[in-house]
Amino acid sequence: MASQLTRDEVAGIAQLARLELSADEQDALTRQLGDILAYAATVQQADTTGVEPMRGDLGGSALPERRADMPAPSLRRDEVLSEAPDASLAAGLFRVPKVL
Amino acid sequence: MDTSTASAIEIRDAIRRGETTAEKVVTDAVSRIAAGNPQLNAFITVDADRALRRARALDGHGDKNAALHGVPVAIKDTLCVSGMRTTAGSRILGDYRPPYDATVVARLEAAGAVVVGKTNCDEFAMGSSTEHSAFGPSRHPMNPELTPGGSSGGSAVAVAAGFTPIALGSDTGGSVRQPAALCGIVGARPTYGRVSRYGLVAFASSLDQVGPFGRTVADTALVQDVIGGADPHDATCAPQDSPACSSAIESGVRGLRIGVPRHLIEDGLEASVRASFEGALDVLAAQGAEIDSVDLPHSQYAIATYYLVATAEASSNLARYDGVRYGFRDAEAGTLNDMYARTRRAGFGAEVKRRLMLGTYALSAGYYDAFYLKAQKVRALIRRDFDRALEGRHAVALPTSPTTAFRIGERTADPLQMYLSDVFTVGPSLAGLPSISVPAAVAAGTLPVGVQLTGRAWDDATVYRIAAALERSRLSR
Repeated sequence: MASQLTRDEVAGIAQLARLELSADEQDALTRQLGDILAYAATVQQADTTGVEPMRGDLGGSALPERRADMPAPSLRRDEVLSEAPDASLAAGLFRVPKVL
Repeated sequence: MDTSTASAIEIRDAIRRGETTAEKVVTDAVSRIAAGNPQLNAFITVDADRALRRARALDGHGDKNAALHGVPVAIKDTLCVSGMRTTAGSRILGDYRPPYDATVVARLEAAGAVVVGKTNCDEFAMGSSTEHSAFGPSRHPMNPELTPGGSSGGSAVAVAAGFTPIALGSDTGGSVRQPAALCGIVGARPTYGRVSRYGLVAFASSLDQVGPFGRTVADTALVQDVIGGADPHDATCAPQDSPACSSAIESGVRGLRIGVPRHLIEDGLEASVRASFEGALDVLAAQGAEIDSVDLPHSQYAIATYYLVATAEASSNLARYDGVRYGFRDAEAGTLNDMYARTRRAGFGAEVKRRLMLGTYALSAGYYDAFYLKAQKVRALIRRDFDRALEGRHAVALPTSPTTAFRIGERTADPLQMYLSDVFTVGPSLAGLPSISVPAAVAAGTLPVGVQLTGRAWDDATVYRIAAALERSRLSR
């Protein structure tokens, strides 16, 4: 695994993460992420033959019970919308800039 | 009674006996905070009016038998309190006020506790020193040049400085245990799934747990018992029963078997940490515990595993901070995608961005198998190491932190150096096991040291039991 990231790769990851980075941030992150990834890549050295990834089951505790699929009151829509930067309480919608 | 040093249980009992009132206790807490918080920066938000109204209501018609009747409590700012500003230590939530209470907050209040405010933390719980808060660092009560640890530094300071006797934090890779150790108080991480995460701002969903802080083991156990238990709002919160944390606190350690991974502490410990840790083991042995050496062969991968799994999960959990539904939005953006990118650029700090980038990379096409999936396999091996170590043993003991409290600014230049602060705490997190930090005896005038005890899943009561034995010995000197 590459321990050196290129600036282009960093730009690509930033795009995936929906983060706009300044030129200084790109430089700093290219260096820092390279170092951190080189360290993180040490997991490659562990022998995981036949090992299932640990997902969900954190050691065999009881599986979550499924509840009955019945509608019940949740958060009040007005309360939720009133915390938004821009919303129409009348329409019951969040308002955002146009997509394109 | 000096409420800056009294335990929660003592305060509750004094109110029950009529020796004081909830209003008096909360008034004192609020005054102490007003005097001390400007220097220590433990709290981001204090709502004295709300707290006093609640205290008066409790004095008027509250249930005096409630477990925490009249006790002031500080809440980490990653937990939602309805109507009270919640920041998660970040700018990106703006002035957001949640329309609901976290389950743990609702349970504390149902038990008679009084929330006085929200405490400072590393942004989105990402950090080990509270230096990555958007609201400035919190400072160690014994020396303001030192960090109190993190990410729940503000809550640890609130208890260590005598502002409140108890507090809630959250622990993903050590964020309750490590500040507890550095500040000389008790801090615990429950078995994963024992305490509801509903209303906890999510960082890494398979690792996050709400954890209590207290000056005493008994207070900490009481808080965990109050907040824990099944919750229909959190599908990862298990319905199974297990003995209360306080159920065995007085039972002592005779006949308990404790393993020490000596291979992990051959070097790298600050001298005072080594001395206090060995002293604590001597105490346990003198009280009848059987102590031996144990191996955790995959420990060398624990930090790398943690920083791959946690950051990957964080990159997913923090995708919701996009300026649409709550908090801050960059109002200049002309299009939706611009709004996302500019909002997140302005709203997130450097450490959060770093971890989001790392996590996104670990999950991206071409790297998912080598990084995230591989890390989840190594995680299974780390869990297996603990299961084997705990077969025939009740706990694994280590220092909570390799060092005592470090200076503000000392580790921020090199992110990786900060990550290595977590070397002993990430293992139990990855394994989902209960883990407590309890203060060890230290030489007079020196900085606190914590001992970390990790137990079998759902056997939280035994780690509290061992911690209580250490506490009794330390206090009887």
